[in-house]
Amino acid sequence: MNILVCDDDKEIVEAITIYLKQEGYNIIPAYNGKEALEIMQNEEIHLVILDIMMPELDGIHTLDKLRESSSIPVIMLSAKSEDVDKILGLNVGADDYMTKPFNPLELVARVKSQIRRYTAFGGIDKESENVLVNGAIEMDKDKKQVKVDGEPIKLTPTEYSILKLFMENLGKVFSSSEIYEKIWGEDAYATDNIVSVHIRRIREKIEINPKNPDYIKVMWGVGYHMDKK
Amino acid sequence: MAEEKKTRSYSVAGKLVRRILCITTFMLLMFFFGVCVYVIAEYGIGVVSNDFDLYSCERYKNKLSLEIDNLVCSVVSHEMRKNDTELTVYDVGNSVARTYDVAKIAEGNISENIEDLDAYVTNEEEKKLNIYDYDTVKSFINTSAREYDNKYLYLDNETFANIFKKNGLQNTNCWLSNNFPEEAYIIYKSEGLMLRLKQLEKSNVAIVNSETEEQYYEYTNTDMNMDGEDCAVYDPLNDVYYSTWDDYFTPFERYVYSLSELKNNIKYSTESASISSIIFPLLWSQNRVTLFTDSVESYKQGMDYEKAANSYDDSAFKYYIRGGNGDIVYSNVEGSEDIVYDENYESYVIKNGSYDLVAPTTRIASEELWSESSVSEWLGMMEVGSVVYFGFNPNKIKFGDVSDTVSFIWGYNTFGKYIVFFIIGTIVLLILLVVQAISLIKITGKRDDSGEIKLTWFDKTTTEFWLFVYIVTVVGSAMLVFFIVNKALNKSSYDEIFILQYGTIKTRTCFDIITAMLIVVFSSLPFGIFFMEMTLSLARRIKAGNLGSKMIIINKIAARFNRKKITDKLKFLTRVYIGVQVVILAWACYVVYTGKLSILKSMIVLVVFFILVWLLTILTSKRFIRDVEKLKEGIEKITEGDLDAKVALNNKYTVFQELEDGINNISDGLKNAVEKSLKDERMKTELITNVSHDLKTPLTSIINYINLLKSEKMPTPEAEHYIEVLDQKANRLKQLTEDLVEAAKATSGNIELTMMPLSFDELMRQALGECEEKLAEKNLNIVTSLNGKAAAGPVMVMADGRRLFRVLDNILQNAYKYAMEGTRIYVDLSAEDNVVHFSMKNISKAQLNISAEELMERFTRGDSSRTTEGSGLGLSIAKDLTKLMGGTFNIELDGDLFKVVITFPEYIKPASTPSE
Repeated sequence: MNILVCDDDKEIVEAITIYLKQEGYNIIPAYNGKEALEIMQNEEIHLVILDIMMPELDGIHTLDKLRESSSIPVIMLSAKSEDVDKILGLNVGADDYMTKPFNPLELVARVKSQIRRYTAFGGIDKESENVLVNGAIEMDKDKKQVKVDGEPIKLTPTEYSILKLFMENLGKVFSSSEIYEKIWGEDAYATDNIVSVHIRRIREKIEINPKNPDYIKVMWGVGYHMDKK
Repeated sequence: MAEEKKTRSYSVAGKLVRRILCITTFMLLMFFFGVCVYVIAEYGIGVVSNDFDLYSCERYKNKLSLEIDNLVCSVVSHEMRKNDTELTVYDVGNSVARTYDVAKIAEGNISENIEDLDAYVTNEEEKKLNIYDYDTVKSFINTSAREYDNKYLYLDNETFANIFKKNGLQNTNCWLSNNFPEEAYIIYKSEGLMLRLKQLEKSNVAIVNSETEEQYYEYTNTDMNMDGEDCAVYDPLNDVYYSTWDDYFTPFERYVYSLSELKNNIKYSTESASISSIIFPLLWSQNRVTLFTDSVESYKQGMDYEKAANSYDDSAFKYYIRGGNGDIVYSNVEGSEDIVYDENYESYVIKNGSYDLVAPTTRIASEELWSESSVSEWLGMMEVGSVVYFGFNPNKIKFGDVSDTVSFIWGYNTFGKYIVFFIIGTIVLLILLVVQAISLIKITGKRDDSGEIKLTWFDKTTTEFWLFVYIVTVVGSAMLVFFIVNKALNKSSYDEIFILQYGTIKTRTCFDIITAMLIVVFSSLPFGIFFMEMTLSLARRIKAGNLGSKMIIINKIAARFNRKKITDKLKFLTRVYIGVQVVILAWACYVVYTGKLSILKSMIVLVVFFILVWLLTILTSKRFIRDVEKLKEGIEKITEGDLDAKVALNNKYTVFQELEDGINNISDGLKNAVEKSLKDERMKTELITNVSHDLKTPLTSIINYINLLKSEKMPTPEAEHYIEVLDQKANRLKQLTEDLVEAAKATSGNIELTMMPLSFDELMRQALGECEEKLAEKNLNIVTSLNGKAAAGPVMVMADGRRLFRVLDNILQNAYKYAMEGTRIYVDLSAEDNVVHFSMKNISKAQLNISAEELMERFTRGDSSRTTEGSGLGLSIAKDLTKLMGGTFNIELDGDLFKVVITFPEYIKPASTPSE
């Protein structure tokens, strides 16, 4: 597996290289966009980690060019932490967006996740209608089993029911009292924050970074929802 | 307040009484004013001053002279009538004079056949009369009365046609044309003169006295409508006679008094036992003839007519006429002529062919009363040796006496003497009326409890309609006043004293002033009501502010520009419009009042003026409004943020041009200011972003390499500890950097907020759920309570969910860091009076020896040691974010109790409750 790491800060590239090499990936460094594009033409690359603010050619333009010919996963890694920057990056074609300073372990997890999804693309069998799939999450309703990136995870029955509710209603927003009524089957007590606690626990189990969830997202003051990946 | 309002509004009855009072005042005022006008017009302005003497005034003399004339004439004619048994009619065509037996005719045994009259002929003799000759006519007229005494000339139509040959009588309402030769005669009744038509230069025609060549009237030939003027023309060259009369009592037409009519009239007259009245008006072509009436007889008949015969008292007059043979032929006094001599009477006598003032000279010299011509005329008519005494006592005049002079004197005694009283009364009443009107105007159109002004259906009609009705009212009343004044000033009122029909005299009587005043007072009732209602309607319209909006012209303009609001604002335009209308109205009233133009002409002028004003207003206001419109658009654009907007006016009114420049300058100035501030803002944002980037990049390396170091084997336990410290501090630096950027943005307001309605209680649950376990680490228990509306259901606020979460999270983080372990954290949410209150209370583990303000300041923390985690920016950020979203953020400290209170205005829109 070849991963192209592109950042103008050599120390950062080096650090990332060390972490990813430990996981068995082959790292090809690049220090600006032009370099990255040249390497892309010559080498077979499976994933790109791309900084935005770089000399010669910045990350956004590099990604733009890259997307003209390739659909490999790209993780943006930038000190630009504004919403606008994230939206821009994702719109241009990034598969993930991480802000600096980052947790190296999270980066590794995200890299793994992206590669798995990329290589297994279309390979996940929809064995029966009772298997729900969203992104890296697979839910087998028959076995009452949930896998994230192919790894089975342990969920309590309540957590499973909540996750199932989201998986079955992708995109729909549920308020905590709605969730409570649906899962517990009784009227919610207004002060009870048990739903939020459960959701946080589910997130800790299925998300790479629970504080920056990819699957179960919060709409503050409104409710929770899971978007289709 | 409600009670106060009630006492100020007036009941319907109260309003009605006020209106009736107002109208009454108006009617009284009109009466007083009418009397003033009438009296001053009748007696002159001198009547106001005290030294006015009725008996020396010219009009009194004229009237008295007329009175005496009438009386003397009637007395003379009365005498003649007494001996009248025969009637002579001259058939000029056959040059034959026939004498009829009047007594027999009067018996009425006449068949329808005209020829039957021949049976009553007592005498028939040949008479030669050349009527073609002007001089002959004149001499005939002048002499016939003397020569033939009570003989009269009649011609039937056929005979008349024969005389005037050819075209015969052209009894049409002809227009005198300059086709008349100079020799044509004009018999001009009101002048009582035989006049001649005189051809002037060009197309003008003059009427001149044929004897004195004195010119009377000048007409342009097209303007010579003689209709209504008592005038006839005889053209001897063409033998054509032109007349404009319809009645037969005119000089020339008397000749065509047909026998059949004679017959009928004799019959009629028999009933009234006054044959004389049929025949008196004949022959005399001069004015006196028309006055040659049985005045006294007429009085009596007139009084019969007025059904007041019984109350008639002619004691104001004394007359005594003795014939030439010594018989008393006519008198209203018993006994001798001496009785006439009374010092209270102005007495006159005509005796032995001369006249003399007999009685004590009371007031007027006789010469002023007796015109040379009339005296000589009457003297001529009287038998030799006859005597006429005449006395008149003005002090005996009473209301109800019928005579021009009587009326004149009675009017003075009743009103004229007290004119000052009437003038003062007029002024007082006017003031009273104004006071009442103001009070009414104040009362009308009061807002009722709901703040609405009650409008009648009329108030809701267009302003033009109001103006129209108003004009009609004003013009109508102006015409009424004009009528009264004209009545009083009418110079031709003398002419009304002539016989209309067989002895019934129509005189102006002293009833007339009463009648006039009655007309004034009772006409003023409807006019007054109209005036009042019009004025009150105007007041209501102004109060309701629909004067302009109800005006068609304004609405037309508004429709043209499709902007009602702006035209509504142009109230002064409305005022100008109305002002001009009022000026025109005043002018129109003046014109109508002075009678300078006929009603029709003044109406036409009025309409033309209205149209002109209308057009002028439309034209000017169109351009005017267009400019205002442009200015408004320009300002609106600038307000909406289009700083490149420029105003360019079409019509350069000076005032607007200044405005135009001003607005353009404002937009330029604003543009510069905004550009500058935008530039500053951009730089600030860039600075924050750049600094944060520059900080984050090395930090990334530091954190990464510390992590790498951690996975390496350290030579000594000390080294491991050092790395631990490095790790700790690096993470703290990371947190600090993030907070710093956040704080900078929150303070500068450099944050894009996504405001949407969201449920505060849901958000609170979410936030608590996120950090519950973390708080549990420190054994901190959360006690939540929902109060007020929040207990019942979701409380909505308008906020940015992520930012509001950040606020709550910061507070809870704060509690996590600084709350004493093992204590409880109280979280309350309540909603009351559309305000959402959120509060969080905890017990600080460190002593809070600083103020709440300091707490919220950056880099200040609950404990001053600054060794633990946290940047000290949390509360500051929370406060700034709350403020940005429109909420309030307060910290209260009470000993070790730390309390945060956040309030937000409640968002109320039942439709959007997504949490349901």
